[in-house]
Parts: sequence; C-alpha cells; structure tokens
Amino acid sequence: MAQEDSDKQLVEQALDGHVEAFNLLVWRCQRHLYNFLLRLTGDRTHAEDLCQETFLRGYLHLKELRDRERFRSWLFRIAVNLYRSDRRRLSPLAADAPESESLDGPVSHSPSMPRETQLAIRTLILRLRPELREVILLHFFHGFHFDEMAEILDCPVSTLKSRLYKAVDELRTGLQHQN
Amino acid sequence: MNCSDFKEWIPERVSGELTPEKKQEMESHESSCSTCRQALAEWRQMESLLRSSWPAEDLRRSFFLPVPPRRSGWLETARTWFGLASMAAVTGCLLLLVLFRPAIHLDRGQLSVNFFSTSSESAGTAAQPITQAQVQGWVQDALSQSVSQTSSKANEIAPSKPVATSIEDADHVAQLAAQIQLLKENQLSLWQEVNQHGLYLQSSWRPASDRNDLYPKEHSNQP
Repeated sequence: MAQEDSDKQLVEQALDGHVEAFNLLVWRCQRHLYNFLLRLTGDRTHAEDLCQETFLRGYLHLKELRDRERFRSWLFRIAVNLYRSDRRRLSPLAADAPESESLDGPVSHSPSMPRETQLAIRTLILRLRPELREVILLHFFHGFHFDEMAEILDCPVSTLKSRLYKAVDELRTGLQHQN
Repeated sequence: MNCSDFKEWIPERVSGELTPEKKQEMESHESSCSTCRQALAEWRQMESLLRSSWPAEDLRRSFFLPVPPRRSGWLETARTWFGLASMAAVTGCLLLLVLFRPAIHLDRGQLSVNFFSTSSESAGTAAQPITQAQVQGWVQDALSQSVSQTSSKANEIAPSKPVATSIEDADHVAQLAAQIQLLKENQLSLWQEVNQHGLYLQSSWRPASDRNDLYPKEHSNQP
C-alpha cells in the first residue's frame, strides 16, 4: 500500500486483512470527520467518542460497502446515524431539539473575523435543528455534493435543497438580529 | 432560464456541481438580471462567512486501529513451536517432581532416582545418618549370628551320639571346628577391612532393617 493509492484500492486492501490500509484511510478522513462531528455536537469529547466508534464500525462492516469509491460518504453516513441514535438514546424527547452550546476549551480562531462574531455564528449553527445543521455542515464546511449528501443523510436531493435554503434563511435572520 | 430556476441552482453553481450547459445558461441569465446576480453574491458571502466562523481544529488524538502482529514465516513458526515444546517439557518435569516427590540419591558419582519411595522413608534416611560404629555393630552381630548357627548345628549332631564313638564323627567334628576357625579368620579380616578403609557411608544408605545389604558380596555368601 502507498499513500497515492485511491480510497477504493485501500478499501480492497483493508478487506484483504491489511489493517494498515484501513489506518491510511483513517489518516485521510479523521480530521474531516472529527471536525464534522465537533460542529454537529459542539462537544469535543463527544465528537471524539463518535469518531472512534465510526471508524471501528466502518472497519467491522467494511464488506457491506458496495461502491468502494464512496468510502468517505459511507463513513459519514455511519457517523450521522451514530449521532442520531445517540441523541435519541440520551434524550428521546429532545431528539429534534437544537444542540446545547458546550464548546468548552480553546476555540480555533480565524484571523479574518472577530472572536465574538465567530462565537455568535457558531451558536446560531448549534441552535439550528439537527436536520438543518447536518445539511449546512456537509454542504458549506465539508464540500459534499448533493448526491453524496443524499446518500449520507438518506433523503432525496430536493428535500436537501429545501433544508439548505431554510437553514441559510434562519442563519441570515439570526445574524440580522444580532447586528 | 427564469429567476426562480436560477435561485434553485445557486447552491450547485457555487459548489461547482453544474454541467457546462447548465452553467452557461445561468451565466447568460446572470448577465441580464441584477437581482439574481445579487442573490448569487449573497450566497457566496454566506458560505465564506460560515467557513471562516468555524475553522477546522487539529485532532487531540488519532483514531488508528491497533495493527495485529504479522503472520510469521516457517522459521519463526518452528522457533515458536520449539520454544513452546521446551516450556512444556520443563513444566512436565517440574510437575512430576512436585506430584511424586521422588527420592534422588547421588552415591559415588552414580545418580539414582526412585519415583516409588515413600516420603517417610526418604525423610527417615535424611533424619538418621548411619555412623561407622553402627555398621561395625551390624557386622559383629551378623558374624556372631553366623557363628552361633554353626555352633548350634554342631551341637545338634554332638548330643545324639557319644563323642569320638566313631571315626566319621571325629572327622565331622574336625570339619566343624575348621569351619568355625575359618569364620573367625573371616571376621578378623573383615574387621581389618572395616578399620582400614573406613567404609565411608552415605546418608542415603538404608536403615537397620536392611543392614545385611551392607556386607560385601564375597563375605555374604559364606556361612
């Protein structure tokens, strides 16, 4: 295995029993996946636990992956499902409620934006309903295309688009209120 | 393309998912509609704002899976099995020693292991070392016993018939007397041998119940 191998090649090597190949996939995806889960949950420890669980499940169910070129989407789908079931398990009545803001510890700082504005926008994102937040994060932060998002979130592209518009409208309104 | 269609395709346009034909359609509409141009600019601005509000963080730890040890070649396999077999043999020997507690004797360079001796026997030999004086006593007892047996045998013959009633009886008495004399000489030579060589006794020698084994073979065969 080599670093220039495609995801598909690495998946095939991992299926042959090479854990190192899977670890190379982990190395490629872990920052991406961790930050997605961090923005989704707003909690670093929770994001780490979900990330670990996602990779473990991914390895254990790797042979169920049909389209091996879509490893990343498949992995994100596992992560989203884990996040959803975790929410249902932890607070069944509040499964659709916005995430509580618990971004403790050091906050990554963007030099182009004041810290207060940053925190305000993060708070607005965390206050979105989970299904809107998922779409916003996958599309704007992680650059997934609509067909990939449809696979990850298991819903049609038209629904995703309407959710995306709705989420953007809510964020715009929130920003106007703050200004 | 009208304004409604344009708005619907803005996300794909920004993320670069459009076909070249669709992109061209949007560009031609955009050039003629300032509202749609404004909508596209606002969308791009929102994307930039969101992205810069929450930059990606570095990981606090990695999520690599533990790699199992590599499959070994035949040499490593043989080495592993040889090591396991050696360990099993040593463990077996130790178990035998612990379970059966054999009596181990080292006598004049000869090692003997007895798995069927009782623990009390081995404990007895260890607790009661045999001294040279004891052996001398056993030798003396045995010789006295042998002499007395020979004398009693002579006495059994003697009372039944008068002394020197015939030439045969006289010869018989003379033979017995010669045997007694021979025994006494043997006793003397044995004493000398005992005294000369000292008969160094190991603690593993058997106790008094088996004392007759201490005789040298050439003497034990004699009456």
